Amino acid sequence: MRDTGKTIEAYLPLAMPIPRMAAAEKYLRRAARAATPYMMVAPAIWSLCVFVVYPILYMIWLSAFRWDMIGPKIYVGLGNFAELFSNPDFYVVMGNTFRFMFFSVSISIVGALLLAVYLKAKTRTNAILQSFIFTPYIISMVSVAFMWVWLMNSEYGLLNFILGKAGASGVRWLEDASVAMYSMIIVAVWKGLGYNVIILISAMHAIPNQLYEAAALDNTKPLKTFFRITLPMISPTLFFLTLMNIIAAFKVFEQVALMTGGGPINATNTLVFDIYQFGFKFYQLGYASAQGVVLMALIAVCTAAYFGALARRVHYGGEA
Amino acid sequence: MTGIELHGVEKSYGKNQPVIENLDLQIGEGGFTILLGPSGCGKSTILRMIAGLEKETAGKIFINGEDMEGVSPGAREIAMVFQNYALYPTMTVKENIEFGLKNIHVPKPEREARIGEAVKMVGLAEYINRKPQHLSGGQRQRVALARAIVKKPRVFLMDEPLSNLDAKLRAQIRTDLIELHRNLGVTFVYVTHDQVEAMSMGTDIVLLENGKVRQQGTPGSIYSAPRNLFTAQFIGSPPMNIIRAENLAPGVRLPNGAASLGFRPENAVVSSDGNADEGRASFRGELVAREILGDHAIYKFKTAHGNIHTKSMSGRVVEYGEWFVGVEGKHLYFFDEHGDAITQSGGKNA
Repeated sequence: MRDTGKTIEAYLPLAMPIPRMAAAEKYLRRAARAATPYMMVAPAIWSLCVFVVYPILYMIWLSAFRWDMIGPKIYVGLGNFAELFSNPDFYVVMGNTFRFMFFSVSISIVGALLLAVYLKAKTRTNAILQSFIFTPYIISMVSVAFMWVWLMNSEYGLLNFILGKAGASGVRWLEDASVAMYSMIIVAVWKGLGYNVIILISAMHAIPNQLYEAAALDNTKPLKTFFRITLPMISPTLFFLTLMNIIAAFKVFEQVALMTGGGPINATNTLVFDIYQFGFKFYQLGYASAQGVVLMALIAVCTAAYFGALARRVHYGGEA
Repeated sequence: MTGIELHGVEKSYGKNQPVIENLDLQIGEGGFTILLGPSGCGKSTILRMIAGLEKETAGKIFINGEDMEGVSPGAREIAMVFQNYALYPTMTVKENIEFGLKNIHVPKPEREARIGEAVKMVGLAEYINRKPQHLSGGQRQRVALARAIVKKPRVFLMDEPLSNLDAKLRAQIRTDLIELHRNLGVTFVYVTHDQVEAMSMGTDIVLLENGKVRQQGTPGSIYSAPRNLFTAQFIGSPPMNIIRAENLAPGVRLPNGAASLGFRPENAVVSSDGNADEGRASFRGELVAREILGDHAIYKFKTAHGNIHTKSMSGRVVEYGEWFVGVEGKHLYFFDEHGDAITQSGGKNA
C-alpha cells in the first residue's frame, strides 16, 4: 500500500461520524427511561384503581346519601351511620358475624392442626385421607349448601334419621334459632378444613428432618417437640392462614343466602348478607354502603391488630 | 467391653440391596475415630445407626458394653453434630444449648454453669442471645458443638461437621476439635470424606468402601502400610501412583503374584539420569504439567507406563522437558490381582 501522507485522524470523521445529540432529544430519552417502570406497572395499577380503589371510594361517598338507585341522591351526611348504630338488628347481625367468625375459624384451624399432625406422615393411607378431606373445598358452595340443607332437614334429613336410630330426639338444625348458627358453622368448617390441613401439612413437610433428629437426641418428648419445634416453625403459615380464614368468615354470604336466607328470625343473618338485603332487596344503597364501610373498617382493624400483636412473635427466619 | 462395637450389622432400605452387610467394627473408648470413605460408602449410615436415628436391619450395636437394641437416641448418652448444624431456628443460642438439659431436668444453677463453660470453650460468650440466623456458618457450627458439649455425653458423633465451612475456617475448627477431644477425653466418632480431616484429627481411621471396612488403623499405619489398592489410592494427595505389571517393560522383576506396583508421589525423585541401582525403579517421562504451591510442587509426567505424579518439597522448580522419575526400593508397594498388598519388597528398572 502506498503512503498517502495522511494521518489516521484524517480518515476518522469519515469512518465514524460522532453523533451529536440535541439537548431536547437527550431530555426526552432520559424521561422515557425514567417512565419505563411506571409504564410497565400501569396495567396493574389501572385495574387496581378501576376494580378496587374506585368502588371503595364510591362506597364511602355513597354512604353519605340516601338513594334508591332510581331517584335522586339525597345528601344525609352521617345520617346512615346514625341510623345503623341505633338499629338493634344491626347488633344482632354483628353478633352473628362475630360468632360465626370465631367458632368457624378456631375450630377449623385447631382441627386442621391436629389432623395435619396426624396425616403428615407420607403413607398411602394418609394420601387417600388427605384427598378425602380436601374434596369439600373444591365442591361449589351451591352443591354443598343444598347437600347440607337436605342432610339437616328435620323431617327427612340423614342426620336426624341417624339420631332417631340411635334413640335420640331429632334436632331442628336450620329451623331452631338457637341451633341454626352452629349448623352453619359445622358446614363452614366441613368445607374449609381440608384446605387448611393441606397447607399446614406442606408447611410441616418443609421443616428440616434434622431438627427432629436433634430433638430426639435432646431427649424431647413428642408434645414438647410439637410445641417447641413444629409449631414455631409453621407459625408464619399458621398466622397467614388464620388471617385469611378470619377475613373469609367476615365475608360469608353464599352459604347464608343458600341455606337459611338469614333466618330463622335473623339468627343466621351476617353482615355481608345484610348488606345485600339492604342494597339489592330494599334498595337502600346509602344504608348498605354505610354497612360496607363498617365491614371494611372491621377487616382493616383485624388485619392491623393481628399483624401488630402476633407478627413479632412469628418466626420468619431462614433455616439455621 | 468399652467403646462402641458393631457386630454383624446390616442395613438395607426397603427391598433394595443392603447398604451395609455384616459389618463388624470396634471403636475404642476415648479415641478420635474417623469413618472415612467416598460418598455413598455407608459411613453416615453407620453413624446414624450408632446414634439410633436409623434402625439396623440386623446385628447388634453396643455402647460401653450396653446393648443399644430398643434404646432411644435420647437415652444413649450421645451427642451429635450435624453437617447442617440442625440448630433450632426459633431459639436463641442459649436456648439451643439449654434445650437438651431442660429436657432431662438438669437444675438451673448447674445448667447455667455448664452453658457458661461450653460457650467459653467454643468462644461464643457474646453471641449467647442471638438467633442462629444472625450467626455465620462457623459460629453456628460452634453453637452445635456447645450444644453437644453441655450434655457431657459418653460419645460425640459428628457427621461431616466442617463440610459447609470455607477452607480457612475448616483448618481452624480442625485444631479446635483436636483440642476439644484432648480436653474432654471422651470417644469421638467423626464421619468425613476428606482425608486431610481424617489424617489430621483422627487417632484411628476406619476406611470404608461400599459398606465394608477396607482398613482400620492409625493415620500413620494407613498411610505407610496400605493393605490394599483402595487404601493406597484413597489416602495421600495426590494419590499413590499405580502402574499395572503389564505396562512395565519386559524383563522387569516383580515379587511373585504382583499385578501392580505403587509408590507415593512424595517418595519419587526427579533427575536427569535414569540411575538403575538394584531395587530402585526408574521411569522415563515428559513433564506435562506442574503446580507450584509455595511450600511444595506437584508434577505430572507422561510415561510409557501411564501418568505419574510426583510431589517435591525441595523448592527447586523442575523445567518442562524429559526427565527420569526414580523411586527407592523401600518406597515401592506391590499389589496382587485382587488389589491386596504383597508385603515382600524389591524392584528393578522399568
